[in-house]
Amino acid sequence: MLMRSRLYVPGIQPKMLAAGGVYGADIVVLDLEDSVPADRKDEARDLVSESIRSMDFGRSAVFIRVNSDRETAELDMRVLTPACAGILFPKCESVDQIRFIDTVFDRMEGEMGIDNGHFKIIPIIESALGLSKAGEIALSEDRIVAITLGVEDLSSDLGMIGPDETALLFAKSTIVAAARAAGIEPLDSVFSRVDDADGLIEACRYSKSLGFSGRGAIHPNQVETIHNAFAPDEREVERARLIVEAAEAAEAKGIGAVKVDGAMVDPPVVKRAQRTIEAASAPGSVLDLRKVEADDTGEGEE
Amino acid sequence: MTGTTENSIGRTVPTEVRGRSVSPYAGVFATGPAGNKATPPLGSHRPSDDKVVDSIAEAIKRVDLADNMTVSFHHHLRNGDWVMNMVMEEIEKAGLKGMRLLPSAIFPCHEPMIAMAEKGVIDLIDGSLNGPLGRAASSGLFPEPTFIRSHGGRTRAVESGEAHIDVAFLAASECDPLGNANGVNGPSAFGPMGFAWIDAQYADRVVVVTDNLVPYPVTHMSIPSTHVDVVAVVPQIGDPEGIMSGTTRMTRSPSRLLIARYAVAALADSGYLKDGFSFQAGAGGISLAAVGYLHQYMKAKGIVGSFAMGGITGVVVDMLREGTLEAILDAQAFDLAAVRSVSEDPAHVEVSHYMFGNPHNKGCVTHQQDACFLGATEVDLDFNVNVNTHSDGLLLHGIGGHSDAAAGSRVSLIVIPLLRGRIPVIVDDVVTVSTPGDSVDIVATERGIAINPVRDDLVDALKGSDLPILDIGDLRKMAIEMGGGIDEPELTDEPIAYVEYRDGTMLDTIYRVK
Repeated sequence: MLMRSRLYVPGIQPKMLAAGGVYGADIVVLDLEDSVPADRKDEARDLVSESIRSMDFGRSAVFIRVNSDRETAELDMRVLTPACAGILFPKCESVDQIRFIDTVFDRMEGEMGIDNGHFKIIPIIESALGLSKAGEIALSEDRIVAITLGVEDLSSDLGMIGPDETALLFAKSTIVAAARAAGIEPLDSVFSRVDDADGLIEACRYSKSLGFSGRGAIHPNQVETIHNAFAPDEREVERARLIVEAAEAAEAKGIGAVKVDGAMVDPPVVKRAQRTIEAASAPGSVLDLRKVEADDTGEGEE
Repeated sequence: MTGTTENSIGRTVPTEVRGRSVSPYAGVFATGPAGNKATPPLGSHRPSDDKVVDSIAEAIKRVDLADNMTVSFHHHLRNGDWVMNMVMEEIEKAGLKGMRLLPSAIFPCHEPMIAMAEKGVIDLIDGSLNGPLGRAASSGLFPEPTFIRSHGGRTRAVESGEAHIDVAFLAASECDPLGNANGVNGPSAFGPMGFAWIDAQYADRVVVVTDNLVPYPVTHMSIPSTHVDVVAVVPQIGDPEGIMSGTTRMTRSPSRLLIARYAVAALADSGYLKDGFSFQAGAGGISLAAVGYLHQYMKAKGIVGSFAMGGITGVVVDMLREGTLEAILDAQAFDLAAVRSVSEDPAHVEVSHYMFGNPHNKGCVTHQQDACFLGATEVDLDFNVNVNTHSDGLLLHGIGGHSDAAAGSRVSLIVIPLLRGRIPVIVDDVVTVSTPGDSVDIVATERGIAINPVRDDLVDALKGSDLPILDIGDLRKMAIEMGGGIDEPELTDEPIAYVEYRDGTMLDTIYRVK
């Protein structure tokens, strides 16, 4: 599953829910948490449930951002149908929370008669405690396909003055390391200045340089920019092809070691190369606004 | 109607209008020109003659305006125009009756014309009836049906003599005492005078109305003095801010921006978007956004286009300045950035709507265009486009250059949302055909893109594209599922307007609403 972009759609806005699938985001997150006032959670669950059943979300995988307390989280999770991919679990701080979700999903999948493990989990790290457990959390369940962070709450909990990229470097790198160690995708937070397209491009470029493979969008207009920014450039694709071809040749010959340009290539690198090729051929960039020629620094994308 | 027939797209149209035989629409280029050009009377100017008068009332006397004559106006000042209202007030004061108007378009600021029609000062208005006048016409304001023409079609009708102008009143933001005039300089600058050019050529008498009389000679001669009888000086011709009225703001709606991206992506996949590319964009929010994306795309890919035709906005001016276009051909300015550019940049050239869209001249710009981005109020399963009437049958808009651009461009793209509110924009049959489906190639919505099956070259080119290419029937089905059906408009069988195609044939009939 590609996760370059995940578009958050407030669960309380029928018009936005109806249009959520047209923007080609890799993931549409129907939000029952922060964008829904406490006294309208039931209403939002009804709206989201109706949307999932009646709307076409196109190529987007549908996730729901549930609330973090167990009672509400379970109510929220019950909105899922087999057409949904899973949940984003906010304020994640422990493996226990993940185990609880897993148990509920086991039960739901049994009741629905679908494969165990069908529903996926993307934990959101939003506290110092969560950050310190990110590695354990990322490794705790096979259902976890990615891990991300909520920078507003996290920076506040870390005692920062505001969510500043330099200050957040350690936190972001911790998330990337946790994800890569677990073989899942590290996803960066959202970019909140919706009218700042240049700022978003710059932010995505930075995310990519840290190792993130996607970014959140709080406005549909951000999706295309994110896709263009996270699309691999020609040199990345070429290199990935060499690696994958070498891996395939090695496998055909029954050789375990893969060599490219005389250097050994480890299995995670092969896996990453496969993802690069997948991303390169993925739809979702309606309009390819990348510059034709990459410049010498490798940062020639617009 | 004295007699009716069915045209090639199945619409019932008259065979005779105002005592003149008319032909049914037979296809985009099926009907060619016949006969000679109209011939305005000869004129002269002696060294001692003084053309300048200090009021419109005096100008009316100078040109011997009389009952039942046809007067014309242009709409370059759009909703900021004061000239039509000032002239018609003086005509009323002079006690004239039964006047026929041939404006290039009517805007909400011209609402006082309704009362004048009710009082008999005005008999009929042939022109794009936007807003209140169109609504009033839909309820039977005029004693007989009016003609609705495209910009190019209007110039054809004037040149052929089918639409005769007794006196043209032409607003100018700069004029010298001999009548050399333009719209690019002066405090009320509004840009090119593309609409006015044909009126100046063929009207029996021409009055330039200006608020900026400057010494002879004005060097930017949009209207040359050789065609001008009288120069009327008034305190102000209008409000230049009114140029930015209505449809010239770029959309911020994410779904409409997506439509614009789909349109540009479809064009890119079609193979037409390469060096030398040329296009026209309307002034609708989605069309403007499409130009923005076009610019970004061409910049990213290093594509240098040939020209843009317009209706020009600052977005197109940016393309010229940043090198993604080599020239702009401009018949009207939609914003003040365009006004400034046409007066300063030699690559930004003023042209007339006669050159823009008349199919019966010897060098029509739209026939050189690779693409055009156009809006619509409705599109039907045969790709016919309605830009004139709403789903309730009310006449609320003109055609603009829609059918001219669609006919001439190699790829015509209609950029529309699938629904407006809960009203489907793709319908089984449009209420009114403004642009025939045989000149419409691609319909882009936020839920999918439909290609006219007659364009098998485009169908082939877009095969394998990542874009959501759908049958137009599937888009229609989707629109109904999401929005539900709509009630048929309640119309009488009394025609209130005829849609004349750009070649002079009858395209459709607009009926009075109940």
